[in-house]
Amino acid sequence: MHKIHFNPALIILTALALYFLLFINPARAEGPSDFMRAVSAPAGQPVSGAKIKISVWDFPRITLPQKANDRFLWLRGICDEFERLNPEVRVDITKLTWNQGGEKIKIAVFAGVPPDISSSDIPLKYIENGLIEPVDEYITEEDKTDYFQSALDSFKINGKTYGFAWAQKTDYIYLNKALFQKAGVALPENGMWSLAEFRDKMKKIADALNIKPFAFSVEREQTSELPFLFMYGGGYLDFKDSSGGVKLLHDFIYADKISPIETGGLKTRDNWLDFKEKQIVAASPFGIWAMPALKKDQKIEFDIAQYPYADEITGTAGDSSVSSSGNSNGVSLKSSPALSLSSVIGYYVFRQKDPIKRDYCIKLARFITDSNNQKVIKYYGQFPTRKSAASIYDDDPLMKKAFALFEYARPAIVHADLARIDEYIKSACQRILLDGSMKSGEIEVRVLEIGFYISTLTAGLNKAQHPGAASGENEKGAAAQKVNKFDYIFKTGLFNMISFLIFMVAAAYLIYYKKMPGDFIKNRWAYFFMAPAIAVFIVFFILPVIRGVLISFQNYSFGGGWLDNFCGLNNYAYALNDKVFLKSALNTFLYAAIVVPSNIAIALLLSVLIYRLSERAQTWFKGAFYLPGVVSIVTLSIVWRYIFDFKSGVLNALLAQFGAGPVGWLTTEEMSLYSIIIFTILKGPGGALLIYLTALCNIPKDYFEAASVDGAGPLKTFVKITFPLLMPQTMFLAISLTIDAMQVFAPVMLLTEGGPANSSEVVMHRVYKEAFNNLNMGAASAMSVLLFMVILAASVLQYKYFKYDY
Amino acid sequence: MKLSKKNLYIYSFLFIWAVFTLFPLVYMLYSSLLHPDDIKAGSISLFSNIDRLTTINYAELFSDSMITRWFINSMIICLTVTFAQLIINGMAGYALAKKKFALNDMMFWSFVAVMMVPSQIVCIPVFIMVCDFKLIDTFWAVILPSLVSPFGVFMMRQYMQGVPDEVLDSARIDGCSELGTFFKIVVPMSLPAFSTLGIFVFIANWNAFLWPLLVLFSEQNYTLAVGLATLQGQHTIDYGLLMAGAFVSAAPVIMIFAFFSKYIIKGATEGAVKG
Repeated sequence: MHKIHFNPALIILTALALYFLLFINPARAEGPSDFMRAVSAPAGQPVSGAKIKISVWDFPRITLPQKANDRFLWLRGICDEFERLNPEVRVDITKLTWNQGGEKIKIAVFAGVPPDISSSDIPLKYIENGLIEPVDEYITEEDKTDYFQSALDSFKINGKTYGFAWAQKTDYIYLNKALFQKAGVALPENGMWSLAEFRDKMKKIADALNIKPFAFSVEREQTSELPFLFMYGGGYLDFKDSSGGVKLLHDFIYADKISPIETGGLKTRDNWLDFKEKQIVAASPFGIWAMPALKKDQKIEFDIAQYPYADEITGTAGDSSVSSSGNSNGVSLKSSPALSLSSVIGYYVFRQKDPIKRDYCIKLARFITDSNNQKVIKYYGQFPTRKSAASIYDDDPLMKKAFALFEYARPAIVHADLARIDEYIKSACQRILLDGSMKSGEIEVRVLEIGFYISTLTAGLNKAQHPGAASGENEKGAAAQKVNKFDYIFKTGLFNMISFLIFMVAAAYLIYYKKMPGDFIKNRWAYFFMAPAIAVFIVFFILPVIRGVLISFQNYSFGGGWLDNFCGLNNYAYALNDKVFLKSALNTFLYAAIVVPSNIAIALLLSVLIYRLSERAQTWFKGAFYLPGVVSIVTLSIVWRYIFDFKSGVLNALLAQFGAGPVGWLTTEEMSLYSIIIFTILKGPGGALLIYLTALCNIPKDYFEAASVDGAGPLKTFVKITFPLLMPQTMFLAISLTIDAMQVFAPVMLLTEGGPANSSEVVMHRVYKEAFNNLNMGAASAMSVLLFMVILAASVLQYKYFKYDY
Repeated sequence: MKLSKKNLYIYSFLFIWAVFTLFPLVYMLYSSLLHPDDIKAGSISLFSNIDRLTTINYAELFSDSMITRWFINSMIICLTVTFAQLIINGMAGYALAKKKFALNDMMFWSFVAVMMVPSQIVCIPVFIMVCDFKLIDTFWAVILPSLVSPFGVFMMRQYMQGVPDEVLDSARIDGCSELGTFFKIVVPMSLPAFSTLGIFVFIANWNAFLWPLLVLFSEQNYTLAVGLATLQGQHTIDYGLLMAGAFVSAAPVIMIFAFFSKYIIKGATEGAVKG
């Protein structure tokens, strides 16, 4: 090692660089300076010839009958028409996908690169932050009378309208007519039934056909079970009052035995399969999306019904629920006959700086949702929001019935942090529903706990979320929209990066200055060859590590500088108090503790067996065992999800042939993590195997010959000779496999998404969700730093026990 | 070949294990060829429908999803990254192996140290950086952070140490420029290392999942791995379609493996222990 010489110039340069790095931090400057504003193009005057570009991000909502494979054709058509009417505008459509799409918009908005127009239910969080344009001026009197009042209201906050309502949807209970008939049970009259009636009918079918007739699921971001859950009062925000509903669902499974016991781990798609394809379910709640799909296939004779209404409120279930509060969805029949929950999708415009563009954006959003263009909703199977478009289902008796039942739907609650609350409640309910031994008293206690947690969560969120969010973010949102070129360099931390680079180069130069003067000149070619690698290395490895550690101490929001909003150890406290994170840490350790030793043992066994074989056989087996390691983990995960699938997986089919009952590989709390472990182990220790083989081939044959001359059996030879000689490899593999195992992500994401009830959550997946679902970068960074420290400890071990022979 | 009883046991054990590890891949291919009705009916007794295999899932896959586009995207990204990595890592490896400059040791050790650092740890800051530079939802966001891999630098250095100094010296004496020496002498002499690294980089990037998932937003920009993960519908899951997609994404890699398994198996043990 070279001795470090403390050169005075080094100290000065270091100080200077640190100064640039830490204190001149223009990202903190508020908005572009006046000068910058003056040089940037004056707003509102599109340069002649240049078209105004409007970006629309939307989901694959509608499939037009004429071209089934293009799920954006309808939108493209409308936008083309708009372009024709306004030749100076160009509309770009970004095609989102259903899973991931919502997160993408969220991330883009918080990263300061939002689209111009998007669609969803009311985007409360963005409205709170002043990121959505109010559109009241563009809604004419005529529109107001044309809109269904509730639809119009659903985009209204504090007297302002923030978007154009487009389509409404709700959930229904779908009934399999054939099964009802077979069991001799009548369908509910006019699609309305009381809870007692519902239970009675279901029990009859269950007895007659020996099936579990009612299939439901409790799934994140799904709404179909909520009317039951909140039937006796309570709601997302006052969940403590919902124990009656939770008990009801629990009873469906364990008391009435009308729903399968694995319900807590099921997803909508499982029930969909049972209802539509296998037809072993008589009733199941789905969204209105199910209607066109069921009609298209014509495999099944079905009818729809409204959710049952609560009868006389009985026993302990709902003492507090009659006076259910205003913001909740739970309703007692006496006050208003609201049974199902509806939501309204609309198109809204993100904050625009340029008034001309704003005008066009709002016009386009209005154009997409106008009466004429709403007719396309017919192919979407939802209800239009305008009366003049309401006739699209006149020739369709079922949809007409659905529309009649829609009268009993009430708008679902909106809340800026609903996603997080929803996730918590759903995973807690999954756990309750999976536990058949839970008594009603225990459920009540558990629900109270959940309710308490939710209320602390919402209180905490209101207080802690971005202090000054309401006031500060308005300007930031507007400022983030447009950053001119000069400003951009400062704002983006590029400045920090450049100064840091200078600092590194200078420091390196000065440290080695005495040792080798003129090294930079003499060996300029060496530095030339190194330069690209070093540059990428610093920008994408070194700086991010530093930044990551900094962020873990910050209350970070996008656009924040390197040194903004320090909040001490708050993020670490948050991480260590987060039960899900602790659970995920435990799971990760468990995963590593099982996967690493078994991988090593299997690799060792296989390599010892292989290396005595002929060259040909060796090559063949090497290939066979290494191939799964080359194929993408995504591919393998998808295949294994199919193999593990509860309903249609080959594993359960195989078990059934031996008379063993189906195992909920991915759907029960007990099995989910172990299924992922089984997957990882069976994927095979390809790399480890090869390393062992190479090492084995390097062991002199005399050792084994000597052993056999001395009369040692194969087992003894292995224990006394082979294994000790392979110690360095074992050590290396133990540690590098541990590092890999600690970072397990893709299998969890693709097989279980951490569920059910967080039973298979692991640290990297938790980090991913915290960072990119909850946009809580600080806490996510803190979690990954904690993981990093554990991994670092493992790396240090690796250094200590094992030296590279490079 | 004489098969002793002992060997028979060994062979059958290894064979059974190979069946275990390869089963998912075979099953993937098999069920991608099943008729959707057979899959949906769920009555899957193994290989019973072998007489009614069909390519209907593939037809649906290619007409209903953007898989062709994803395939092309993946190709563009992987080829760019592979090419760039070969040049950048090769150059750095050459400098580290053959040039005695003052920072040689320090730089080498920092590369080795970074090999231990899990790259996923830096994904949040790099993500923020990519957003800052407005590269989000572009191929650059995927390409730039993977332009260099410490493992690649390490591997190239190890190999290039074997290039004799005399050859380089004589090239220099003959008036070959530095760049000329590198491209005309060092690269041809290290071709095995380059091909092994190339295959590795290509496969690793072809299979990359987390990072492309984070930075690519719109369906038309997805890579194959990301697209595959989002192939399921909003409420339903079509396994036949998924298996077809899985096979399409695995096929190039399996093909590469079939042709270059010698390099791959050699490369897999490179950089590991030697003694």
